Order: sequence, then structure tokens, then C-alpha cells
Amino acid sequence: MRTRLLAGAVAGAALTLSAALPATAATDGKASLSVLHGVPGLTVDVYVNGALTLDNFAPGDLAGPLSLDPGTYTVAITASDAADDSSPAIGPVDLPLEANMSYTAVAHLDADGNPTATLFTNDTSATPAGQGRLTVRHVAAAPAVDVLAGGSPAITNLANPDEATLELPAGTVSAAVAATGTTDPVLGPADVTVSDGKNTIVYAWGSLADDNLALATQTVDTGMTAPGGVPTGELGLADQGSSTGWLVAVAALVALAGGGAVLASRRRATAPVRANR
Amino acid sequence: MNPARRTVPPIVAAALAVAVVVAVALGPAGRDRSAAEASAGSVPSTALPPSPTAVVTPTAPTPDIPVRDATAPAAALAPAPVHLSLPTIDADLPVDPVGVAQDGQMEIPPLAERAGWYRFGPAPGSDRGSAVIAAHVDSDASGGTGPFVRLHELAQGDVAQVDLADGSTLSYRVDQVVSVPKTDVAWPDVFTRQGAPRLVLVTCGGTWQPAVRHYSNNVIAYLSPVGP
Repeated sequence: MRTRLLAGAVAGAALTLSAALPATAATDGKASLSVLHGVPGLTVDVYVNGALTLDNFAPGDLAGPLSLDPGTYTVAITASDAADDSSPAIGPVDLPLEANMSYTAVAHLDADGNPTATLFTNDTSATPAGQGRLTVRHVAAAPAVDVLAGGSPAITNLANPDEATLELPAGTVSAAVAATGTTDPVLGPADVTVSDGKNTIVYAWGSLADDNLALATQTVDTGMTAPGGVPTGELGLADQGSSTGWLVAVAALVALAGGGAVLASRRRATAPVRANR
Repeated sequence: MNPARRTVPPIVAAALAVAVVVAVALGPAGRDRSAAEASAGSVPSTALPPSPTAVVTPTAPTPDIPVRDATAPAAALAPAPVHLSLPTIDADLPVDPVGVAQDGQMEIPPLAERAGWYRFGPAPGSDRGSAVIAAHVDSDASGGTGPFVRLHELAQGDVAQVDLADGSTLSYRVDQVVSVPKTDVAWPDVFTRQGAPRLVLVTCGGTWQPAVRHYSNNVIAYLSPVGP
């Protein structure tokens, strides 16, 4: 028993470590899960597989990321004063989580204003060097929307509970949400940071009718692409090579003197001469 | 978690064990328990009943679940490095933020007297990953060599200082300096976003290769932060 408890303690420690790390591209055989509360005006408790796991979880809060064994987890969301999960306000819903994947479970309103929950899969594939990913998710009680970036529609006709993804140069984007076909923001504009190697996920949540639409933002680490090299020499003056290297340089000069060098070689060969003066 | 749970019908034990695993991972914010404390074996006094699965978890306080207000404005970007000093090789360089050149390689300031910080990666002072600063060993624009011509002379333990845009200064010590053929450099490792924070300084070295008009090697210095 003691051995098994110790094993459990170690497992707990591993989970602690995992939970302390930001969501990564999840390549460790685990599933990464975050939970977003997007139902206005309702502080809740979250039960996972019957156990209370998030106590007094407030609207707009984002919990996680957590590193979990792959499998199906049953989530029930209750009012915060519930004694157990026997009469959930949302769910129970089953969340099938696969290894090496990143997820966000969102408690939110559907387009008609009824509480629901949606499991989104976060795209953690590598971004090109210098670019980041922007994902927009419509989880608000509102009709379809357009997402404006810098004032012009970048995503059109996005409906609850759908998402759209853009790859953009790393930097800051001024984003706003407007009813589809319009450019008059119902939400925003807000500055959104797009980062190389990250998926910035923006949620439009709340209720249009109740005038409490809001944005929530989550960032998930993705794979990244390193530059292909670091080209930090142009002249050949710093040749640290063996005497052979110097012999090559001398040979190039000799060749130049003989007029036999091609254009490209001449340009290289003249540099040391200029610098040696 | 239910702290009162002591005895559970065996039939539900398996389900509970799974639930507890999740609870441990997801559990309500408890005391801040470091991994060291946890692995040091604070074996819980409350035992779970035997479980038919191999999964047994303690009912000790659960680890924190990070919870934050997702509606808060994004955190300010980390301050950029503006100056690099390597006193043991008499190198002082202003540092410019740089990105990716059209050929997919790191952009390098044309003057060898200036260094470039890869702004898409971590900044010096980030809590993890490598901040990469590179400079030409020699350049057309400079018409000669720059301070990084002596980068290969850095020795283990040498100090580097990086001034940041917010006026603060970070200190580093050299762990290792290597000269690696360009064809062998694992750039994803050099530019990694993961692992312990470090400063990586890069220039060119080895032999000049006239036919391809670049040096054979990259000289790469790896440095670790010096504690406050």
C-alpha cells in the first residue's frame, strides 16, 4: 500500500510539474486541456468525473493548461453552491482527449442564449518563422459576425460555436467584431498580440441582447520554425582556419593578380586587399 | 476533492481513482506545493481504498490549477535588449531587434559593430528558452571585422552584460563556446523556446569559403543568467 501511495505521490508530482508548465505543443503523450468560463453572471463549480475540480469559477476565467492522460473525461458544471454534480447547469458532457493534442473546453451561451459547452481543439502546428496564428471563436449569444482586422473584414460570417484561424506576421493586430456584413463594431476594437510560435485565441462571449459581449484571450504555444541559418560573415577577414585557409586566400589573390578570377571571386578577393590597406 | 472520503465501495473505486487523478491535476487551488515538496514524499495520511487499477493517488492537497482572468489586457511585451557588453574580449555592441531575412535566415545588422537580437524568440530575461543575439564577424558595410571577431576567445565563466530597453541590466556567464560547421548546426535547438533561460551569441568562424562566399562554421557561445 505504501509503495502504491508513493507511486501516487510521484504521479501527483509529475502532474504538478506538468500543470506548472505553459501549454506546449504537447508532444509528451499527454493531452493538454484548458477550461474557459464564458457564461455571464454565473459563478460555477466544475466537476470532472464526479470530483469537484474548479471551485467558484468565475465568468471570464481561464483555467489550465493541464497535462492529462489521454481518455474521455466527463465534465459537469453546477451552480457554485451545489453540493454535488447531480443537477448540473451545463452537461454532463464527455470530453474525448487524445494524446499530444491541445484542447480548450468552453462553457458558454449558444446563439439563442442557452448555456452549453464546446470542446475546441487548438491548432499547435508550427508557425513559419516570423509569423503567428490568430484563432477567433464565436461563443456568444449573438448572430453570425465578421471579424475586422485593422478595420477590414478578415473573417466573415462566423457563427456560434464556430472558429476561424489566420496566420499573420508577428505583431499587434487591432481586432473588432461586427455583425456580418457590417463594419460597425459591436465589440472592440482591441489590440491583439500575434506571436511567432503561439496561437492567440480570442473568444467573443456574452450576450448581445444583454449588452455584455466581451473578449477573452488565451495563448497556446505551438511549434515554431527557426531561421535557416545565421549568415554573419561577408569578407573572409576572420578566417580562423589552418594555414591552408590562408593559402587559399593567397591563391585567390594570385589568381586575381593574374586576371583569371571570375567576377564573384574578384569581389571577394578585393575585400581583404582593401581592408589590409 | 472530497476530504471526507475514507471508505468507498470497491465497485466505484476505479472510477474514483480516475477522478482523483483528474482532481489532482485539476484540483482547486490549494497551497503552493512545489514539485520538490511533492516528490519528497509527503505521503498522505488518508489512504484510498485498494483500486483494481494501477492508479492510486494521494488525497494530499492538490496542486494549484492556474486560473487567470482571460478578459484582462495582454501582458506587456518583455523589454528588448539594447546593448551587449563582453568585457573579457573588449566587445561592446548596440543591439537592434531583427527578424527573418527573405532567404529564411536570421536578419543581421549590416554593420559588424552592431548586433541583432532575434525578436521573434525569447528576450533576455524571459523565464525559458534562448535569447539569440548575432553579429557579423566582418561585413561589407563595415569594411572590416567587428567585435565578434573575438567571440571564439570567450572562455567558460566569462561575464556578459545585456542592457534592456527598460534600463535594467542582466548578467550572464559563459557556459560553452563552440565552432560548428554551418551544415551541422541544429538551429531549432539554438533558437529553442523551451528549457532553461539562456543567452546565445552567434557569429561566423572557421574557414572562409570563397566559392560560396561564407565561412564554414558558426561560432556559438552559450551563456546562463547569473542570479540577482
